[in-house]
Order: sequence, then structure tokens, then C-alpha cells
Amino acid sequence: MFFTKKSKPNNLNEVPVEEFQKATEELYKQNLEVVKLNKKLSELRLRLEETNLNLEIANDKLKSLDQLKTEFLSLASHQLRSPLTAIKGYSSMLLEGSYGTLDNKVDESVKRIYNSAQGLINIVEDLLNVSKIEQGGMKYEFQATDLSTIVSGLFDEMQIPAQTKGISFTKNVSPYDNFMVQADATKIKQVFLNLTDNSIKYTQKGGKVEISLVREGTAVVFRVIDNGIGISTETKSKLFEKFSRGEGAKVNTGGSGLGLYLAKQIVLAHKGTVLVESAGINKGSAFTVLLPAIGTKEVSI
Amino acid sequence: MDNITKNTPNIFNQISLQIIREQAFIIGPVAWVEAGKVSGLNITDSKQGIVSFSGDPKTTINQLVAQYERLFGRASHEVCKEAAKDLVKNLPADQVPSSLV
Repeated sequence: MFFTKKSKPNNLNEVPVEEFQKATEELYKQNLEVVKLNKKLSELRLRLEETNLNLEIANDKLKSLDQLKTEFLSLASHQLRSPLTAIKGYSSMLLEGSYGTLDNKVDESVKRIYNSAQGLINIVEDLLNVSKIEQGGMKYEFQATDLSTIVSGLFDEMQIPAQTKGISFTKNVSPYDNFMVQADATKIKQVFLNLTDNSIKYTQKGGKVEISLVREGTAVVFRVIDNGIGISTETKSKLFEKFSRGEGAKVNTGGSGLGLYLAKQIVLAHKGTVLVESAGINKGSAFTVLLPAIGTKEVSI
Repeated sequence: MDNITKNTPNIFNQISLQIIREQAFIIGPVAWVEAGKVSGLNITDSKQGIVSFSGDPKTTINQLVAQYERLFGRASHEVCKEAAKDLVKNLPADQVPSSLV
């Protein structure tokens, strides 16, 4: 308000010139401020648009680089798989005596060749699977699957590696519960195998590994518990990332660092969850996979 | 005749235009109306920004600045100086309107 009640004029002709001038100048100053603010705002908007454009360009570059990387991985893995399979096949034939009996030294060397080829094949398979997942080309064949059958098969398969290492390996599966889920049996078995194999790998001689299958509410829960080398808090947060080696890198157990990443992607594709717990280094670890169950808890008779 | 002196009339045109445009940003079309009241300054086309001088450009620009200052106060004088700042650099020192120094 520019005028006091006492001096308020009846019409504009009665407005004192000085007051009118003052009001005009005040209005001008306010307009000037608005113009300055608008200019700043326009500058900021321009900078924002420029930043957005640069981000879009960088993002496009990253996407095409990522695509190139995936294609390269896929191609390189395919090219590696064939010669590796040949190395594995011929060394296997040598070990089986197809070319005559081997003396102990040669037999030991061929076994090393065989195991190394197998290790490389596993890495190549992991890389191919990662490429498939990233290109959206991983195919799943979902069907009603009894996880107890998979766990029993897995338990039998892992007996020898556990015994060889001198580890107590046990299984705990209730015969009265229903463990049916919608799953791609081959891929889920691959996940369970990977987790169990890791536990055996990272548990020292004399240690314990237990696999179990239970019903918890609407989920079927597969768990691997060991008292092995454990996992640090820092490692735990990155464990399911690509090329994460965790404590495994320190004990030189081989592997691509892709197993847990793949396990997580496969479980996610099954609408499930994979969790890791560990109280720290040398305090063991527990890996849990939860998958949505089909049907009631108890087995129908 | 050096380049600066040859282009001086054109620079005066640009200065007056720049001042009017800057004022128009703040007070709107009334800036053109008020500029039209300055003697010696002819507004040929406010939309396209065509002006010409019939009097001494230096004096006319001083009058244009004074016209705005008379109506809108000291702040408008500062706006005129700021608007003409870059163009004034192209004028010989003795040709710069005193209101823009």
C-alpha cells in the first residue's frame, strides 16, 4: 500500500506527484528483480538441458559399449568352448586307457590337463550364460518340480567331493512336506549345485556342510550352511555382483566370479530370493534360496 | 577514416536499440512509447527494432537515458548503462554519451 488512510486520494489526479514517482520507481525495481530472476532461471534451464543431453549421449555410448562387450563375450566363449571340449575329451580318453596304460607321472599330468580344461569349460559356460541373461536370451522351461528330488540327486553328486576333502556333508529334508514349485529343474539344480559346491570349496578339512529343504509359509526354502571361511561384511554386499570373488580369491579356489551372479539372476527369474548370512571371517556362512511353493504344506496322500 | 569512426553511427543505433529492448524486458511496450517521446530519436518499427536519429546521436542517447530515469528512477539508469556496456567499448572515448560512462 502506497498511501496512508489520511492521505488517501479520491481519484488519481489527487495523488501527489512525489508519491506516484516513488511508487513507479518501486514497481520498476520489483520488475527488474523479476527480470533478473527470470534470466537466471533461463540460464539454469539451459544448463540443465545441456547436462541432460550430455547424459543421454553418455548413456547411449555406455549402452552400445555394453552391447559390444556382451557380443564379444558370447563370441569369444563360443570360440573357446570347442577346443576346450576337445582337450577335455582327449585327456579323458587318455585317462580311460584308450591309448594304452599311462605311467603314474603321465597319468598325474593328464589328470591336471583334464581338471584345468574342465575348470575353463565351467568359466566359459558361466560367461555364455551371463551373455544370454544380458541379451535377454536365457530360456526357461517352467514346470511343476519337486525340489526334494533335486536336493536328493544333488546330495548324492556332492558326496564324493565332500569326502575327498574330508568334510562332513549332511542333508535334512522332511519326508512329510510338499516341496513342489514352478521351476526350470535344470537351472534350479545348477543354482543349488553352485551354492553347495561353494560351501564345500570354502570349508576346510574336518568342517561341516549341511543342505536342507523346508517349507516356510508359502515358500520352499533351500539352505546350505557351513562352518567354513565365512564372508566379511564388505564382501557380502558385493557377493552377487558380476566377477565378485569374495574371500574365494584369497584362497585361490579358481572360478569365474560369476556363479553367484548367475544364481541370483536364475532365482529372480523364478520370482524367488537368494540370501547370504555370515557372522564374518572364519565364522561360516549360510546361503538361502526361497521359491514360491505350489499347493499346501503337507504332502497329499 | 578508421573502422571505428566509420561504424560509429551504426553503433549509436545499436546502443539505443539495446537500451530500449532492455527497458522493454522490464516495463513492457511502454519502453518504446517513452523512447518515441525523445526528440531526435525516430522509432521506425518497434517490432523489427528499427530506429534512426534526426539529431546528434550522442545527445539523443543521453536524453533517452534521462527519459527513463525521470520516470523510473536511478535503477533504470543503471539498466541503461549495463545494456550498453559492451557496445560502448567500440566507440572512441570522446564519442561515448556521458550518461553511459
